[in-house]
Amino acid sequence: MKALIDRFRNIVEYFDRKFEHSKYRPAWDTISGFFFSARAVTPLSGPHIRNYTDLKRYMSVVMAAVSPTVLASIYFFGWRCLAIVIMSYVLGIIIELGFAIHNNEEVTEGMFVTCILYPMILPPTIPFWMAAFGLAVGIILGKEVFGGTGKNIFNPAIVGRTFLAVTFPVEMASRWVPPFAGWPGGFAQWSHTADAVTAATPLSSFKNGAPEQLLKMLWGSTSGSMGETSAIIIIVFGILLVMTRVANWRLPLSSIGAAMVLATVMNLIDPVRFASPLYHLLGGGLLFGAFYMVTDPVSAPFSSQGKWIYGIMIGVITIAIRNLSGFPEGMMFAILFMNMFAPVIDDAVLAIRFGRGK
Amino acid sequence: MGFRGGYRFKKFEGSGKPVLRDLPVPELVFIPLEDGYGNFLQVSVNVNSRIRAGELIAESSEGTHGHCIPSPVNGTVIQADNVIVIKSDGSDSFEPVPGHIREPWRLDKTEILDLCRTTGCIFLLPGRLASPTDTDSVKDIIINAVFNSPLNQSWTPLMFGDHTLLSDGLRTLRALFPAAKILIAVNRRNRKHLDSPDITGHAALRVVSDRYPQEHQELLARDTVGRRLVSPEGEIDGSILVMPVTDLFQFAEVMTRGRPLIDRILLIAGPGVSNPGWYRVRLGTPFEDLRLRLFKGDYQGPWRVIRGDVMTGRGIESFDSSVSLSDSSISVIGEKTTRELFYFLRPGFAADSYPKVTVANVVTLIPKKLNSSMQGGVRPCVQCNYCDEVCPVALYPFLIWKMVEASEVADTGRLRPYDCIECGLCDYVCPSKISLLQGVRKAREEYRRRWRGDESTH
Repeated sequence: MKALIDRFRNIVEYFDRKFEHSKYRPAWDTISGFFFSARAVTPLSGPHIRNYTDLKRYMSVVMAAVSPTVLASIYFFGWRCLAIVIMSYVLGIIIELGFAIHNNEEVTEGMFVTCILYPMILPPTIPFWMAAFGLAVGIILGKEVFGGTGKNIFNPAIVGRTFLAVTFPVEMASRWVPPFAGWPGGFAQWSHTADAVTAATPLSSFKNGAPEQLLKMLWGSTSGSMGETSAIIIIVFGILLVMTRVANWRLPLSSIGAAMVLATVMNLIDPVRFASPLYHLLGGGLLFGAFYMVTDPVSAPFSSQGKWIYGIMIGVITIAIRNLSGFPEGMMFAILFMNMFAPVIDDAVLAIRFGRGK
Repeated sequence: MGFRGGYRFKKFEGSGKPVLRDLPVPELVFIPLEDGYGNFLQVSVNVNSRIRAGELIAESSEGTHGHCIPSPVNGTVIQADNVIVIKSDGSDSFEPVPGHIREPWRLDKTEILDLCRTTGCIFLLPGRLASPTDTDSVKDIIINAVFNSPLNQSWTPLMFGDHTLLSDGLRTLRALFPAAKILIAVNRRNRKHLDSPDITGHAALRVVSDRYPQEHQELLARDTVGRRLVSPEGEIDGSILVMPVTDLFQFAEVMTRGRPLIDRILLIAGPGVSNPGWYRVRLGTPFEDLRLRLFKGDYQGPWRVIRGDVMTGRGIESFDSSVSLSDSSISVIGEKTTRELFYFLRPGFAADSYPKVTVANVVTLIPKKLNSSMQGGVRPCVQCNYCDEVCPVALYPFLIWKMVEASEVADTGRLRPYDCIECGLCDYVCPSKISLLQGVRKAREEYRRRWRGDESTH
């Protein structure tokens, strides 16, 4: 086995040398770096050691935390969901490699997270070409035009979805399908047939006066976006993600907490018009958004105080849109809206903490 | 007792064990004649003369830093220009300090200071002490017995058992610095070892945090006496004296037991050391000698040798240099060069990770690996906030680094880069493997440079 690995390493290193001066070097380095760890050592001026976690591992942990949700989406909506995830990976990698060659920089692992999160917030009936179109917009307009990972203002997956929601409102908001039930559920299905379409999501059915059962919403057998329906899986793996420190605990806590407080207050005012806080928690994209989208470190504020403000505002805006506007769901707009304000929030926090001075 | 930030290192392979061993006398010793303050000392021996360990071989009378250097070994002087080289005869006896007395604290302050000079002990105290009046300006003495760095989770064997030596050292310090309050900063688990009347009669014990980098002198000053040791402009507050406990131990040996300052007590540890622990090493011992006697073979390596600990020390480029009084530890870690398959997918049984994503975060029994690998490729900053979470002085290292990268060094002043104590934790935790410390250091130097410039124009 060891000999085999050495053999493989030699082959990879042969190509390392081959591509050394080529313009395809960043693209090759991405592939080579996927298989083998970096050879670089710390500078002699110290510090001489680094902790084990690199960005690959960091992002892999997020992917691992989302993958149970992908499994759930297959169970509820059929193998077509996985096909869309795979398609978004293939397309994402192609786009990123193109930018890697163009910018002469290695591909950053953040895109692997984008490519798994993005399909999860799409309706299960989304046409392939539309999903692909949205992803391209998300990556290019949401990230690369700002200079790539670390410089983007908006969460690329949210940008892609918002673009689709505005451009193709029918496909994005009114073609829901009921979930498969029993065993093997969606594991034996490709997808729903076209005539099954039109089942409403829990949030829209509440507005129409026919609320869903809370237990079904917790388990996930309701209609909705591919990954957002199974609340229990998102809660369990989201909390695990927070416990690893990969996602900052302040963000899900503040956004869900604020949403719950506002939903409770509104529910007390008018229980008929406004759903209960638990209904808001388990229905729609609040949980998925709070654990996987709000926690995107790049588009959130970096200061702890800023994180609280950001999370609270997202929770408040989400419930406000859900309860007061014509849209049944508000998480996506809330995140996009607050992404925009994150730099301003940070600026204000810094000014308070360090002063405006030189 | 606690502070914001910091990181608690768990057990690493090659951590020092609390044992003090003597290293055999080396064949050759090299004593540079520059005293660390830019002054050259006068050689007081001739080439080919025979000399006993403890006899003076060089001295400097230059006002403020006047002091003497005793020979570390018995043997023959074979070179005496800007470096004194002595060929040792291998015997480990030595001459006691001339005119030493058992209870120096009964002496006059001037006499104690003179004794410090003639024995070379002044080097264990701040070198700017020039006259007895200087010692009055010291208001706080902090004995540093805090051990939180990766290879030094245990503590010096010097604190075990009999405390009369430490107690005599404290008495002498008190006589030399009559105006100062003495306190000993210790880890919580070490408190019981020092909690005896011998010690507490002369100094107050203060339990501080068990998180690295509490042992940095600036944090000790901040967390025990509540004052800054180093001002933003880089000036050291002369009224605080932070003294490592090993220095106090050696100070007491010289001043009260008459053992000349011929050796240095060093922590030599790391996965590249056969028996990691504390060693008494003759001053001037070349690193080559340490390599042959203590380090594991190169076939198990390659090794990187670091003067200091793995977080703040500097790697040595050649084995030519020799042990001096400014060394307090030597670390030997693996120099990682092989590329491993699917590194990022490994469970990490022996891998210390700041985010809790390795098995080692759950199962802490296995000693963690220690090598100089970057552990990944350099990536853009994703604002994970790890660096500002661990920063013990509440900076935003990544923000300062970003501004430095964008050539906005001049505007970093308000982010207080001058508070940085160079503990290196930000580099350690960064998942994007960015050299944040270099950026912060640059910003700090820029601030100090500008400050000096401003001052000179006024």
